[in-house]
Amino acid sequence: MDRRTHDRYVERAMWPIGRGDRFFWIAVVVLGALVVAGLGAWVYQIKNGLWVTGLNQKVSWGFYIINCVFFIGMSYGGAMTSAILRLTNAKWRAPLTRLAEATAVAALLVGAVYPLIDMGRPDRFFNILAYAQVGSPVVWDVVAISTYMVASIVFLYLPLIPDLAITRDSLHKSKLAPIYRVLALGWKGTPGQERSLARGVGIMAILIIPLAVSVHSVLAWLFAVTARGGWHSTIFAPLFVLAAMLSGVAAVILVIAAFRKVYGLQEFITARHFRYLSYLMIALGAGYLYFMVSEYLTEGYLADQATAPLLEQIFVGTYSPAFWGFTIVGLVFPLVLAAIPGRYAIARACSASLLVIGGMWLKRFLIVVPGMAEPVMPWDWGRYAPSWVEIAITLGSAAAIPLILILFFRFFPVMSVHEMEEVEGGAPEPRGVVLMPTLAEGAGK
Amino acid sequence: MKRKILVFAAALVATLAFIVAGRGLLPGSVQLRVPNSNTISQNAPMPGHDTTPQQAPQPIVAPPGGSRVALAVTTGAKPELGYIVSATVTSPAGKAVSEATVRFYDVVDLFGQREELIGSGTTDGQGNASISYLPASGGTHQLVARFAGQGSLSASLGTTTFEAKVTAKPYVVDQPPLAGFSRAVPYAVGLLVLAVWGLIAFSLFGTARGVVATANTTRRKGETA
Amino acid sequence: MAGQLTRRQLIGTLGGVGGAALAAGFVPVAFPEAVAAEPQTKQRQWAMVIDLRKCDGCKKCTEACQTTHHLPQTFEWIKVFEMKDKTGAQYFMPRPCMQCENAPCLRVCPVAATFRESDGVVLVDQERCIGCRMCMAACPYGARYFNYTDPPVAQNPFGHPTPEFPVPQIKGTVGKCMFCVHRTADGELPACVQACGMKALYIGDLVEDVATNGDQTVRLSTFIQENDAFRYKEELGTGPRVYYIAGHGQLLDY
Repeated sequence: MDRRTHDRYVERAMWPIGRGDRFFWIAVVVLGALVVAGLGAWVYQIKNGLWVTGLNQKVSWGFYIINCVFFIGMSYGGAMTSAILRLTNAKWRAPLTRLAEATAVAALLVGAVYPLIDMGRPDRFFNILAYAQVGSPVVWDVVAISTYMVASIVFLYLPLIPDLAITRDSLHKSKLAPIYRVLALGWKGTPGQERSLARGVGIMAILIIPLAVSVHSVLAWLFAVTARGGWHSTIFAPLFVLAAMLSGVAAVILVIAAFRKVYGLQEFITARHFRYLSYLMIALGAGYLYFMVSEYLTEGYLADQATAPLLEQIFVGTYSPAFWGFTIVGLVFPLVLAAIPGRYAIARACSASLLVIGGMWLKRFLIVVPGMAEPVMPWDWGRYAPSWVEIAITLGSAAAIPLILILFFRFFPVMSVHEMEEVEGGAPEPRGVVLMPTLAEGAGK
Repeated sequence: MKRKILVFAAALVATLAFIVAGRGLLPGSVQLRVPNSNTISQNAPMPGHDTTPQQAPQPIVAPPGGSRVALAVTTGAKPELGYIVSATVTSPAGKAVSEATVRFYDVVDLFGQREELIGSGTTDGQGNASISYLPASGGTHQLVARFAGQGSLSASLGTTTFEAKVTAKPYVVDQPPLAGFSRAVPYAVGLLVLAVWGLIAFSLFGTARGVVATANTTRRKGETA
Repeated sequence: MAGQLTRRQLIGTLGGVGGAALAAGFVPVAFPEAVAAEPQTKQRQWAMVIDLRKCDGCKKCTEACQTTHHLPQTFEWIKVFEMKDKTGAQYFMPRPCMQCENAPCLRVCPVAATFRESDGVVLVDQERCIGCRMCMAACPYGARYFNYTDPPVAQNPFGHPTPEFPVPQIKGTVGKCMFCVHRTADGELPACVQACGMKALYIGDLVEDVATNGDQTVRLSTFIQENDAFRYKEELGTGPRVYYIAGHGQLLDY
């Protein structure tokens, strides 16, 4: 990378900090309004009780549990993308890791609120700590999610330290300078500091993968430990983990595409990056398809009393539009779309990601709602339709993720400068080592 | 480095000890808040209860002038199989009544005194009917044999008490399978969770400490080579 | 860096581990088993026998239950199912809480609000319940009911609902059949047993091996053996304490 590219990289990475053009404020107001509407709906629900939702005695879990699994799953993709790229020392990761890690934290913050929203008595949340019964999957969830949340925040913060130092140095007149100074921990880039940082980031990159696996396994066990037909499945934990990775990588693709466009990072985040991430998504999607076939085949072949009516409803009954919509439009088609070589790689990756995200939400719906609605006693199938409260909260929480990201990158560099210097050999010298052509060679064909 | 590991291990053990000790100290961790149900029954009239009095126990008195039922309890040849409860039904004239159905009851206290049906038999030519009975609990049992009447014979009953020394196997609440095992697992997992938190803390605080401590030691990176 | 251990490092490590423990809120509680407030004179192990030969589906049991516990119409803690077998024969099956000995609801409760009394009855402490509804997902009998709305107004002599007398229900928490322990402690039959005109419901004690429907009193073990009683979904390993005697509402000569 030559001096000029290097400087422009730093310039683009720092560009959003403190900026506030009209688009920024429009985005903040629109997203903020959605979030406020969602919060308002939640307050309304807290005041009135859970009857304002579409939940009932038979289907007592609905949108909130779906969203909890969905958003926490999304967060996994961000963390995993970053961790895997670091561990495999992929040279093209530099402009992506920050965005991926921030997406992970934002989605997790949103997803972790959902158990609280779902509770009949949120005022008693601390009972979970005071009377924790370790045999309960809910307690496992609380432990796993809180651990994962702290870990992913640390994982976001540690690689940020050198960039905070750059921010501190370039914004020394800003009112926020003392905050940057404290957060940067006196980073100067000495070899000792580099060593400490590399060690810390290394540990976290390794740790975050099993942690994320544990979170999604535990979320799956929430369902799999019950005696319900569609839920009591040994494959649920790996299935959830794979689903999380899949939707997470899709989310990362979308986030990267959006920030690339709006923050003018086209020069550094290229079609190549999207192609690589698409490959990751395709591999995960194919794996998911395989797991799904394995699950439905073993259940459907035996067709015992507990699962057969459920599969019937899913394949040819009430839920068949959702199921086939998810399988074809939300899984197979986007994977093919992303897999075919050729032009419009970015556009194809983005539309595929959008479809995959929608599909994965549908899949969570297909796990939670039919599993609940299936009669455990000789009564009719349960019915569930979300109320406006649930829809408002869902939309508000979905808007919260981009809002958190926009606000975060108003204060922190959007691309990792330090990492770029590291993968480029650390020398911001005019040596003519160019980042992008190297990348281009890597997967040119 | 060795000392560091030792200190970390010590901290881990201390925390674990704290947690184990905390089981009894923290509110509600073991002792469950269960109000005394006896106070409910003694002190407070329960709303919503039926005001109709409980069915009064049937008087265990033989109607006068009918047949007679004599009841006796003997230990059988194999005591562990239970006691032999036998009734002899005779007419007022003292003649044995055959082909008479006799129902045997044990008087129990379940929502008031009740006669628990423990078996029935038909009398033989000597007017004898017997069952074998292995009570569920030891102690004094009051037994009743009831003859419902037959032809011109009116109903009658006989009672006796006996001291049960041999009883049926007491009811045991089954422990769920793997109960002990599944109680131990959380502790192992808890250790793992603690180790993970330790690692996270180590990467955060260790890195922070390292960055602060080595801020002024050597040349800037890039000045080497 | 290596070798020397600074005070700061020590505090950091200790703080990290201790903080982790606190933050994780890791207070292990074994599966909550019986902790009776006071030993009763007789240790009962409550069980129920439901004679389907007698049940005519009148739902008097459900009504009595709702009256006793001040429940709304939709709360059928004992629910009467209309069943049809392959031959078209119709019968009715009342379903109370099975008071499982290996209760899935009890195991999944994160705050041990569901617990087992020493007499085997599974109770819910609605003043602790957080309303996560995990127990409703876990119960294979659909016996649990969540209070989405405010329960009907009712007086409670204690001024607040207790596990033994959960009246009125608490909004945002889960409730279920509790074998009327507030009545059995009084020496009264459970409301449903007392209300059953067909005398199809028997409440019994597994320890004393006796059960009664208010009229007849039978030896529990003999009764369920001789009538080939079964337990609903026994294969799930929940150890239900409710026995059913198969039948079609036919007339019995006793």
